[in-house]
Amino acid sequence: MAERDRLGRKTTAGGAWATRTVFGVLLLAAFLVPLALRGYWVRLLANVFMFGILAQGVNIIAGYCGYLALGNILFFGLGAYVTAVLMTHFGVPFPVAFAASGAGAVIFSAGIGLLILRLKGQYFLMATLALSELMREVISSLDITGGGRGLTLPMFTGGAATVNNFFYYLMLLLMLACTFCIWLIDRSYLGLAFKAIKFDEDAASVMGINPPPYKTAAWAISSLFTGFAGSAFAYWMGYIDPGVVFEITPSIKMYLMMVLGGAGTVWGPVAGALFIELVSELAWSRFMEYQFLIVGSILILTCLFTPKGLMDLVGKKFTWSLFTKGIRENKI
Amino acid sequence: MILQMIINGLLVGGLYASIGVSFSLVYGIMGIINLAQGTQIILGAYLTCAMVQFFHIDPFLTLPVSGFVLFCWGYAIQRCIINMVGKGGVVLTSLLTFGLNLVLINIILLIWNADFRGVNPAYAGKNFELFGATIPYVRLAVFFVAVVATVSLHWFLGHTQTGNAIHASAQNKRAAQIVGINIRHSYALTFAISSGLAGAMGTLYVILKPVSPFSGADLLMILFLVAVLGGLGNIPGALLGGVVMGLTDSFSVLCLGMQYQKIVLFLGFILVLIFLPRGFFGRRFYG
Repeated sequence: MAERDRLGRKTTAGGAWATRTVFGVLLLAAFLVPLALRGYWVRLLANVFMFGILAQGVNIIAGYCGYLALGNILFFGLGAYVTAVLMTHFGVPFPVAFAASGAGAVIFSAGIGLLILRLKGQYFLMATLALSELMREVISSLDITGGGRGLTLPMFTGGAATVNNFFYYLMLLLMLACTFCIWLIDRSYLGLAFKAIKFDEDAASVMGINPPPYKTAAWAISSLFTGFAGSAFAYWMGYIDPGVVFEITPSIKMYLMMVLGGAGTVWGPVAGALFIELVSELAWSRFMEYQFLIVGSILILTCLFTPKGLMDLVGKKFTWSLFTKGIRENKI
Repeated sequence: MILQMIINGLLVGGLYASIGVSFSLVYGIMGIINLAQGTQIILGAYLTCAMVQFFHIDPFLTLPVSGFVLFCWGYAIQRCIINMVGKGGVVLTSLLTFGLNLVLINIILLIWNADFRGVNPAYAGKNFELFGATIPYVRLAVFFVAVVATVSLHWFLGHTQTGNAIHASAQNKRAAQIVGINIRHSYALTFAISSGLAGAMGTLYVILKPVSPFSGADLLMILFLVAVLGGLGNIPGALLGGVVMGLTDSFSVLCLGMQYQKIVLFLGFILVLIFLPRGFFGRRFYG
């Protein structure tokens, strides 16, 4: 067991060499993928990384802070639309629109967050769901967003391979940046405050942590990640409409990834994203009509058997009692 | 015109109240946000459609059947699955019920496709006049059945031993177990009653409006709003919440038009959560 300092972070890395080697190899492989594989796999992995970003987004607010922002897809849609509107109507170049999407998402979440983050968990959950539906309805009825018909963005110039590689590296770097950000938070006082709020909000406020600013900060960071992902997605797809970017299924999938990988862990959501996206790609190409059934069943089984996530199982010997641990701890 | 709107709102409000109560009950007793409740109502509606189509019977007669089927489903689900994560907190139980929601939607899609379905009884167009307002018999009947269901549920919880056992397991789990209440059973029973009520209300809902497998999401917003307005877990409160909701519904159509109805619904929802999170009665009511 590694020793821990005042903030609960590891001071001596236990089993560091094996972990670091595996990690380094994986990272190198991720950067080399576009050289070795083509088309389909590059797009698939870019999609995995995009979901990795989204899952890290909910990881901050739900995994660390314990507030289930089920409608987080709101910021994905918002980011996508900010980029689309700026690029089509105002001819803004992508990097500027990208930054504006992140800023827009943060401003929106901080403003709304100050109001609705006073709500307790269940109420907050429903409020975010309603917010994302509201945003979808508003965008569908505005003129500047093209209403229900959607918007077509300026094309990315270059061949198919260039486009794939550009978005692959964009998503990969974004995901690594988000994960690094979470790693920093995990090791800092901020992360400790988030965890305290998740554990017991009243106790945290007694200990001198004023919850509302921390919760708002958590949601703002979460929305920043999600907004960036939405912006990149819009430019990547070249066409967006409210039905695509405000769809509820991705919103649930990112929770599934977070819980499956491990809520409140640094790499868990990324592992979850990789697992879920590969499984769904495999299953959905064959069993299109069973897609909800598959996602729903994985969700139920995850809640039953691995409520703490796959990262909790890493390095432990697999036994029957480990398998049923989740049920034994949580059943009434 | 205004009288007509008030009457429409009241009549739909009865149904909304009953839907809200079914949701409120599970939250009040077990602290579980059942995100599958909207789709359970839709399942009840589809069962009614199927029975009307195959047996050519009156849709109101299918109410006990869809209620009973959903009752059994609810008991099994709570006993075998939800009880297993009961102590896991609201994050896990919400995700679990959302998983159930997806599974239910997929089952409905596999059996009945994604088309809108409705029932059209022969007497759907019949109505009578009251002070210049038109009242369809169907709506009146739906209102009446929904209110009777809600009131009898309230009576059941307050005046029978089983009802008291359910209340007791909400108030203090340990103490309830000491006096010999099997809380796994009484939780399962609570969920079953809620699902059964949802199934029965699905029958009534489909008589008024056609449904699709995805209508559950809108219903979920409505029922959550009704339950919050009345105070989660509070049955008489939910009746009031349902009526307010019905009135808002009909007046937003009158004043702003159909296309803004959803915007008003969601905006109202968020405003209520921000300014009235404890409902009209200003306190949280458990059990």
